[in-house]
Amino acid sequence: MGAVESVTKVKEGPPAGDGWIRMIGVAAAKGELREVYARLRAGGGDRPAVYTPPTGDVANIVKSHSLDPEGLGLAFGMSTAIHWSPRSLPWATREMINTVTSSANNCFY
Amino acid sequence: MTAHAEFLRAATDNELLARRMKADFRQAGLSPRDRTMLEFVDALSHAPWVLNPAGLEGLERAGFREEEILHVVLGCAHFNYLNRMADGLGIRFEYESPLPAFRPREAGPRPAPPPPVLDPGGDGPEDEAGAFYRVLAGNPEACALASKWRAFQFRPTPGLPAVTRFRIALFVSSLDRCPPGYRSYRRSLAQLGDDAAFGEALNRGQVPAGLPPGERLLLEHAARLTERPWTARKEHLDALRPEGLDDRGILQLTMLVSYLSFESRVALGLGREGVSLPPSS
Repeated sequence: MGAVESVTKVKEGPPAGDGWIRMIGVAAAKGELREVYARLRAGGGDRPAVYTPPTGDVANIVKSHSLDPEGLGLAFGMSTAIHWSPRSLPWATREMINTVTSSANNCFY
Repeated sequence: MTAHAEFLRAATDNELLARRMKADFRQAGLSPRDRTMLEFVDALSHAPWVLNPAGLEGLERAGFREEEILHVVLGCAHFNYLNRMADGLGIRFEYESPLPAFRPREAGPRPAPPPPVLDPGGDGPEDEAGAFYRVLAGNPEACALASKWRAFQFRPTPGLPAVTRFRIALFVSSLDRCPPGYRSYRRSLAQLGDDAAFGEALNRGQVPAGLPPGERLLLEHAARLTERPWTARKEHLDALRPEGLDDRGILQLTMLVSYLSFESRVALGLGREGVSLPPSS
């Protein structure tokens, strides 16, 4: 990956898989989960391509909610309402807030 | 951090700014307005109890309109949720970034909170129900979702019955020194007929003596995710499995605890007089 940052998580984690619990991506999603993924994608508007992971799947933070589709829809529906509505702060301002919050919480991801 | 520093680089087309922000926003050469906003965000994340109306007044003096302040608080609060989900579930980072790696600190700087304000557990004001959502009225979509999201968190599931969920909520609200939270959750527990001594201890941010071992584990994990989420490890989740939590139950516990960090930061970040949380049962 050259200068590209290693994808190895600094904290310990499983050698394979996307996290410590089972996660279901778009390709394997069925029923309610599939509907929620479709709804979130439709409501996502024209988000910049940088938010699409290299895997082509939904981001792991989204996929981590996949075992509870209702919780997934609510958490990321709220994300859309806060970050991607006509009332939202400018993109750069939002990402400054996200970066500083994540730093305060010592969150690698 | 790693993902959003990269997104900041894309948003600004300014790699130097993103590098500096990733290292230390106070050394990033920001405008006084942005610096004021980010000091507020940093405080709200680290120690939400330190904020008071003076924090909001600082944003107003820096030129932030009411609707902008609402979105600063909501954005910060929602990332307090997401950060705990990411670290609580050990989510693998899957993006690519040319920026230098983020090095998590060994120890967090969360300052010692003040002593808890003990709530007598009596009835609250009649109109408490609407107050929390009224402060979100500047974003009707978020306001509507907030009530659904909260109701979802307190719906009983096989591994997390209602009383357990409210005990966790009272405990976490007390750790965050969030009076609207512990007023609401102590009342909910009383309505469920829970042991008053448990409520008294939880309101002090303590794990009550006499709780079953499994529930003690839940509260200890809730404290970890609330106060030091970056210290969560896979073995902490493995220890919950014999207590009846499968992958879905672990997800639901993590969602609940992470949601409470969102809620306390909205309540305390917008903490003008009268902001309180609605009853949940």
